[in-house]
Amino acid sequence: MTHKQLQTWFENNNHKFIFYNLKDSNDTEWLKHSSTLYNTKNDYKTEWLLNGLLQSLNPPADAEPFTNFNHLSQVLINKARYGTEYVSIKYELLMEFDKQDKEYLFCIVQPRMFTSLFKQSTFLNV
Amino acid sequence: MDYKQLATWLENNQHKFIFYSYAGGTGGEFVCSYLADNLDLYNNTASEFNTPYKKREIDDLWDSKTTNRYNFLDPLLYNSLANGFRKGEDLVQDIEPDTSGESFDDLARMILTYIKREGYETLDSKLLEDFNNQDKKYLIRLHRVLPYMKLFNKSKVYVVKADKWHQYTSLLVEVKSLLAPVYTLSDKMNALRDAHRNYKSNSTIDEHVTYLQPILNEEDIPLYDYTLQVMLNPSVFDIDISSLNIKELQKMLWQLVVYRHLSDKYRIDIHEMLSYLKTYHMDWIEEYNINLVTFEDVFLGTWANTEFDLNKEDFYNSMVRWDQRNSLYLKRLGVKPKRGIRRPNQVLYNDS
Repeated sequence: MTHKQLQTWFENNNHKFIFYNLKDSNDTEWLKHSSTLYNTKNDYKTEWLLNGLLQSLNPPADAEPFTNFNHLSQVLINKARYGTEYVSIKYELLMEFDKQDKEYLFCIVQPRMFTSLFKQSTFLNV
Repeated sequence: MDYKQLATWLENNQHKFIFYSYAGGTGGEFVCSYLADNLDLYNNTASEFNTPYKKREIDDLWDSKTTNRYNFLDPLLYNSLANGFRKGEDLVQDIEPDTSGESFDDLARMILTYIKREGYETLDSKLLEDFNNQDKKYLIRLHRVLPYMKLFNKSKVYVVKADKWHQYTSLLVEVKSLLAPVYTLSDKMNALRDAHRNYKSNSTIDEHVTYLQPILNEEDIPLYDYTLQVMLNPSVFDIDISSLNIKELQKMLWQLVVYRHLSDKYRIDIHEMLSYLKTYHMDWIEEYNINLVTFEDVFLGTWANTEFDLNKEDFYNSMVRWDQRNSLYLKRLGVKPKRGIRRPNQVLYNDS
């Protein structure tokens, strides 16, 4: 898939995202929010919709937060295709999510990178 | 779209084409994907059209994580130029290429014949029209330069030669293109179905399944693409597979593939991906305005920086990661490059 397709997907679906700040690895508070989600059962911490790409972003501590979906999409596509390990993003999976209304939970560790960009998303535990 | 319309379209738009010719397995689709992802090429626009060709493709056709093979789509011409044109009906390697193509009419006929053989009705005329009405460049990958390339005198043509890395790139060509393993039951069955469709085998799929049975459910044992080629074309390869079980056959083919790049004859013929040109048509290099690029210049990012103003270091770092993944791929297949073989970034492999 292309940057633009991923960008469009973010723009069209970011109102369905919940970002949960996973402050420590034993945190289970996020489970309270898991009952009506699009995430597969018992698969909340392992992010599969974007194959862990967004979850595993690990920019330097002083990196500027993302301010537009185009930039984020380019970073993710480049990380997927040209990073240390190839990561497959399944366009069909994203399109299936696009066609429904359930929310999707991203467990993340760096919410500051996303808070100013995902204005229509929900941030928990921040 | 008839051949006349396609011929006109090719002639009118050839100044927008960039051709990148390389030996399969040496990172051509990786390089093309990188260029498309980092340049404002029409390839990105074309990828968003819902062409019949794209419907049959998937995002990760080759399971890139396992095989380190990339999938660079050609929604305009359905990969027809990348796959070349062969006179025979079957898609067996080494079949003589169709070296006709004296005019755009000829080439258009060849393309339409090719895509029909692949199961498509025609090309996507809306997409071709959209391309016609804009000015962005379009990147097309090739594996060999054939006579029709002289028609593209307004295009940019790059041909990659391996030079001092020829043993290593030849190993990649062999191991990535011919072994091209799949591991899961479903991948093995899909590969068999595709091969059965392409090669028009006289045997039934069930007969082939029976032969493959001992390894079908063994996810630690790969099924090589070359195994399928041999199984489905016994007369071409002249191998009596009835005297070998599947494990013996694969062991033999593994040895054939992994050591073939070391033979002098093979090195001379193939190593620079210029076999056809150097053997028969050195004059084409000048006549067809071909830009010869060394694999080293591609790898180091020098070429991408000079020709496309891309960041040299970023490109180089991506190539290093690509080649690190090659090492993992070779290791998983039990292939250890011969001691002394020259590899780019040798320091990365001192422990391998």
